[in-house]
Amino acid sequence: MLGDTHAGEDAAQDAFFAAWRSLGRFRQDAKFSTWLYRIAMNRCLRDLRRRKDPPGRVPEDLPTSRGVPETELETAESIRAVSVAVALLAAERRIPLLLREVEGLSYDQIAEVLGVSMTAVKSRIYRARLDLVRTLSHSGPDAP
Amino acid sequence: MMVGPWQRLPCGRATDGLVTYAAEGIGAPAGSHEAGCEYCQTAIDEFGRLWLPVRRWAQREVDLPDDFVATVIARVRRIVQSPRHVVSVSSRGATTVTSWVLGLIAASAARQVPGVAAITPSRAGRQPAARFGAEGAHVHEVDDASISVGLTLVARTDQSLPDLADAVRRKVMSSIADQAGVNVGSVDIVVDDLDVPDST
Repeated sequence: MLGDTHAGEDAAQDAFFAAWRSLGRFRQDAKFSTWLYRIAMNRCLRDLRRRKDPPGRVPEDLPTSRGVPETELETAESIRAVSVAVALLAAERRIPLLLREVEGLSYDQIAEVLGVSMTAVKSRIYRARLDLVRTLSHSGPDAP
Repeated sequence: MMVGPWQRLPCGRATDGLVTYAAEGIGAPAGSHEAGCEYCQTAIDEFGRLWLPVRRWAQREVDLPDDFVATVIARVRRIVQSPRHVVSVSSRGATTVTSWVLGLIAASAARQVPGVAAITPSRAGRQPAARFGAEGAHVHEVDDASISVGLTLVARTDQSLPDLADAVRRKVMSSIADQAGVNVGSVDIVVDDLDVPDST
């Protein structure tokens, strides 16, 4: 999400602390995990807005191909290409995509976490996927 | 057939709408044009092939540092157990302020000084055990009567950094004294980046 272990530690710390402080305000009309996601996402978005280098930075901990058998090399390289492509998406598109593809949240859960309409979530994920497919179709081994 | 997004297929359908079928791993609805059209099916298959690395990427194990969770929990615990400073006592009760709050006041005060672009978590020489603050402000208790504050900041260009640091120091000391009644003995400042305006 933030592409940086230290930033991730800070965000996790702040999110857990904010949750601990806000526990009394937790309304049980939402799942606890959704509520916690919302706090963490708000913290990450605040961090990303402060940075002057949007869209996202390329993760520092990308998988490397050193020591990887040749049969796995192509997979490692393609995963690396996806990591870079995702990091370069604008945060507005990257975050809902991560919540969908990595965290496996439903569209309505993502809408609740981000505080936007389900239509907006679908639109952002749709555009993120198009961006990714366009990038990957130009970076694959068959690319011209 | 090579397909990509933003193409129109020979059947007249745009390829954009087919990406979702591939990404979600669902087929086109039975009876729809896409379900019976060879062009659309070929495009969905092609997008599915392109999406396979994304699926592998999403399912990969993320290599968190071994101590990530322990570090975060320890830091949260320390914040929760952050030292408290008694700022006033009367027959009607005592008022205490945590170091966490003092850190928030320090960061907020520093941010108001012209020339400060941002307050950032320190990246070098991090000392989680001593970190009782927020937003890049670290508060250390010196004794019962005073504290020291550490700040890491990003400065705007075209200014004297020592002058900026002095201005931040004065602002942090006066803000904490005014708002919390706590004496700040020293403010250590690290300028770890410059906010260089875009030349475009």
